[in-house]
Amino acid sequence: MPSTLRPRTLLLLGCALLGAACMRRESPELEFTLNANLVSNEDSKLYSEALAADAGMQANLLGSLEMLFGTPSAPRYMLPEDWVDQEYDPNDSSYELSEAQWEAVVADNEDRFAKELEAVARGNFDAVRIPANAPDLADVWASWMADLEDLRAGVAAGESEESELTEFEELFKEEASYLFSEYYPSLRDAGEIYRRECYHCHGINGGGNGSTADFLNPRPRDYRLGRFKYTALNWSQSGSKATPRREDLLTILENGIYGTAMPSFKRFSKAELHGMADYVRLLAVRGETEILLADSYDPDAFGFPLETVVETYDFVWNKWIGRDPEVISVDEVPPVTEAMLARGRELFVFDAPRGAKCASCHGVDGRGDGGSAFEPRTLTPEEQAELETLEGTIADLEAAFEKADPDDHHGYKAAAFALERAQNRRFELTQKRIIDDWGNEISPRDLTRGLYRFGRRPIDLFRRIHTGIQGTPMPAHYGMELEDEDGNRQPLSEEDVWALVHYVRSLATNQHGG
Amino acid sequence: MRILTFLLFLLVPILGVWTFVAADQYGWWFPENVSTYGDSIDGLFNLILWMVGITFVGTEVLLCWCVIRYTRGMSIAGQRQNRWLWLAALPLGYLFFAQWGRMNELLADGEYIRFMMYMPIGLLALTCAILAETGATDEGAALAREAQEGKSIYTHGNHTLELWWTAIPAGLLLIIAFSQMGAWKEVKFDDQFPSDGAYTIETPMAQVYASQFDWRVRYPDAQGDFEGADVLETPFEFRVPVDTDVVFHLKSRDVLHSFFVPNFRLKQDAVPGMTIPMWFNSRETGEFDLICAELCGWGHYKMAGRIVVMEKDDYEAWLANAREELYSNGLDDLEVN
Repeated sequence: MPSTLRPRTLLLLGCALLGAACMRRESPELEFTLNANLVSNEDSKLYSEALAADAGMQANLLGSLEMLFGTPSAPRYMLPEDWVDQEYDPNDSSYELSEAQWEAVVADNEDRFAKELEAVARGNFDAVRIPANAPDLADVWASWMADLEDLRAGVAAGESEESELTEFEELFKEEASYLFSEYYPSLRDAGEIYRRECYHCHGINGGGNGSTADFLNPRPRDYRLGRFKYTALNWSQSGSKATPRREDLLTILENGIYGTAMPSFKRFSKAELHGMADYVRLLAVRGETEILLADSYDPDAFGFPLETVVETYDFVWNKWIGRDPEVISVDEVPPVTEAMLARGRELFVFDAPRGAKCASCHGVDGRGDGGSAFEPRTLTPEEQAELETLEGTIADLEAAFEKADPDDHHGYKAAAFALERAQNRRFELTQKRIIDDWGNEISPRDLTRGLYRFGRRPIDLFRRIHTGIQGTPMPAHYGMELEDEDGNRQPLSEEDVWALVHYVRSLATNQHGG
Repeated sequence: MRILTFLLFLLVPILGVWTFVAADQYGWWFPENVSTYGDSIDGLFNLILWMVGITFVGTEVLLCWCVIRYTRGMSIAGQRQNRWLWLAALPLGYLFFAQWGRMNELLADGEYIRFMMYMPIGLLALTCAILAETGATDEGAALAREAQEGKSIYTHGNHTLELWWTAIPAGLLLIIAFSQMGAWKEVKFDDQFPSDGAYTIETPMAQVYASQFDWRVRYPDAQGDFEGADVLETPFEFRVPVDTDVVFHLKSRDVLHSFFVPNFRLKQDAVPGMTIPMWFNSRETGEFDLICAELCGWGHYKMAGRIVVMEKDDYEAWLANAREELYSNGLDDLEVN
């Protein structure tokens, strides 16, 4: 009977689908990969064509990197002999924290693990649940619990003394309270948090190419160049590229970056935030090591020699530690005065050497529409042809606009719009935006919106102007050569930077956020 | 067999009522209400819950009665037809009970949503088993009628019955409509907003901006101006004083979001382009979750915030400190976090 077959088939199909959905599917093991297709900017292709074609050497490189940094599910820094001799181990980074930072971590842990700590204090160990994003913590806890179970079984079987169990439980209570209150994520725990929270934008290698990255503008940061935009450091004066401090990364994690898809991660504990910063650093070190190793590619060599690998690794790691970062700070924020605003405006609007030529990118009104953010682009023959017709059209439209009668409101506006559209198209054809070190188009900040990425305090703006933004055309302004109307030369002073800060802050009149 | 079916159907209202009775014990009920107007909203909720609950139990009991009354003679014929459904019921039942331990774990962890996700498997297994045993499908019923050699009876309906089942729900709806007006007016009407405190609809305490995917709170500068350069901006946290009528403006920077604080019984969509005044008054200090309750994009699940209700003095001190911090000289950054 066909009429009875249909519901039966449907039901069976439904059951089969439901059954299939219930099968637990293990997600494929996430693995670090090579960045073969990463092009940072025009003049530094990461991989030479020879290396890109050399599968054997690529496998060798991947192997070397795995030796140095492990895998996403078991990340760890390799310890070269020197480090072992010096008893230096970056895998436990809690020692890098200052006393105040550590106290804050412990206080936050006591809050975060309040339930667990209470259960431990009552001796109710079975009630403790380890958060899902801490596999290492779960492992430690499981092994302790296994010991406890063994002892309990021993007591039940009469093999161990009751007093032994009580003693063990007392010890367990004490150790467990430290385990939670002094919790600091291992790299593995941090990697787990990274995969839950950061991976879908920043990608498994930290390349800013996760699955949601394509939907975002601006694109997520690519850590692999070891370059970070927002730091409080005076990196321009130090002569070399400065890596961010732990505090800089934490500030971004806590505050997010307003106007981008980077949210605030304040719902995580301090310990977890420190862990995230540690893991980002691992990815940055790994990425830069890879770039340098790829540069050292020698087609005739057999693999990458261990010495080179370790040397490079040591070199990159040392950029992150053992430096004396100069944090930009001042005695006091100077008050806003008319004279200062006038000076700021002068510096903002005029080109070098009279001003700081801010307007060339940010526009005279500070709307981020200055011409220097663009450069001429090469046209395809079709586009060339389109441009030629367009020039003719624009000439016609200009003539039409000249002749239009301003009293004829609609006709006049229509002529203006048509002309503007054609001019915009010509601009699109002939100009393109400058790209930054990550290969993204730059857009100079619209300063009228009062929406600043790295914080809106005057000191934050001071730092941006003082030392510039790494990886972008925003230069360091402090110490720039200036020449006034009378031809007196002098470097741009700290007061001048403050004048700019106050002037820029006064531009933010359109604060509707939308 | 009919008795078993009857009992299975009876399980639905019994379990349904039980979930509400046991809710308090297992922590399934609402989070504690700390806002001044939360009680009137909870009162409305309870009113509707009772109405729906009584209707639900009544309907289910009627259904059970129908199972007994109208399945006479059906099961034997139906069984023959539907025995094959055990092929679906048994593996599904196995699948369900195989997850029993996991489900208990989820229950203990308070992961009720994930716990509930296992329920459809069990329900489907149960349904298949019932259908297999009773044959209560169209084909089963047709066969049963054939077996009885009875004829269908044509009825035109019952005028009195229809009158009542229209009038009673209409009356109930009217009761709900009138009893909710007070609460709605208190929470949402512009002209009913608190006007005698420090914060009013014209001089709100803050602007709350929703954006993909976080919350930002803007406090005005010392002159009460939201446009100046000295506006305070805090991500994630919305700090407010206790026992104060907190009036604020809700805005969205991009798409639809929804400002939802379960502890305040307060929920309001944030609409791009609109400035929506809101208010609450928290009776207790503490930290309460702020969540986005409108699917706003792929990161909706992580769009969380926190309402921090502080003692009045603490709040003033914090605000003054934050205003001072704005003009930080940068030295404190050496020792942040």
